Amino acid sequence: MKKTRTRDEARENELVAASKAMSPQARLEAAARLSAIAFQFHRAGITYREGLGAAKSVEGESQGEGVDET
Amino acid sequence: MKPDGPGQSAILLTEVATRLDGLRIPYAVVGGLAASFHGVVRSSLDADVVISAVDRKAVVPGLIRELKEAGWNVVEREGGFEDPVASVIAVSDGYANRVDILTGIRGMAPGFVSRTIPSSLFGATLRMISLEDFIAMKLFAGGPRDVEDARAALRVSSSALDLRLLKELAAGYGRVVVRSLVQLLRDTGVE
Repeated sequence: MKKTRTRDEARENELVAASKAMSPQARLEAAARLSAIAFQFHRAGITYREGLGAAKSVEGESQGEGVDET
Repeated sequence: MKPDGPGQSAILLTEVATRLDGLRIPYAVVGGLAASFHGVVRSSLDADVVISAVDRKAVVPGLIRELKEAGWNVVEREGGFEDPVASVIAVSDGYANRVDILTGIRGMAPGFVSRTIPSSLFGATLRMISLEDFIAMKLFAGGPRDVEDARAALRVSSSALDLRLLKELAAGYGRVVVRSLVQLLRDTGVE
């Protein structure tokens, strides 16, 4: 736990230092561009989950075939 | 510049801001873009602004009409009795880019529009909420991410901070926010 906290603190300090080195306007522009990239990941995540759901559904159907439910 | 695909809520925001300017409705950019402007760069899927309207009932219908005429999907959601936000006008385009317009926040000092900071984004000018208003409203919102945004803003931009003003604004939101601010100032070593 302590190791994780130290790592998180180090990461936060790096982010703060990097952000301090940029002007507010540069951070605003970076945020807008980062959001566009983040959206692509967001979409990819949705597509992945949908694909996973569809694959499970097909697998379930094929396993159900030929089962006598009587 | 117009959005030509998804993931461009910031560009949609520049268009919405132009409409607000045209209608002479003062506004301030808040939310994730303001968090990045004052603190650490982070992504957000939508963009948020808060408007200042003395007579909300007179201003909002005309604003909604204007936004609809621009071709966007516009939905207004009224805040509940205990909701600190009066209402939210959700503006979206055909690519699911989205801008939320908050029509007022309880406890927010009306002078926030005079303290906004102009900043350029993709060739347009946006009016960003001041550092002090941003930190006070984030502490009022009070969620984990809100407090994290306030903390990051203090750590990154404390050299530009008007501490007396921040304390005044926090007091406007009530005692809980004042206590949160005292804690945050201590944690970040600002005071």
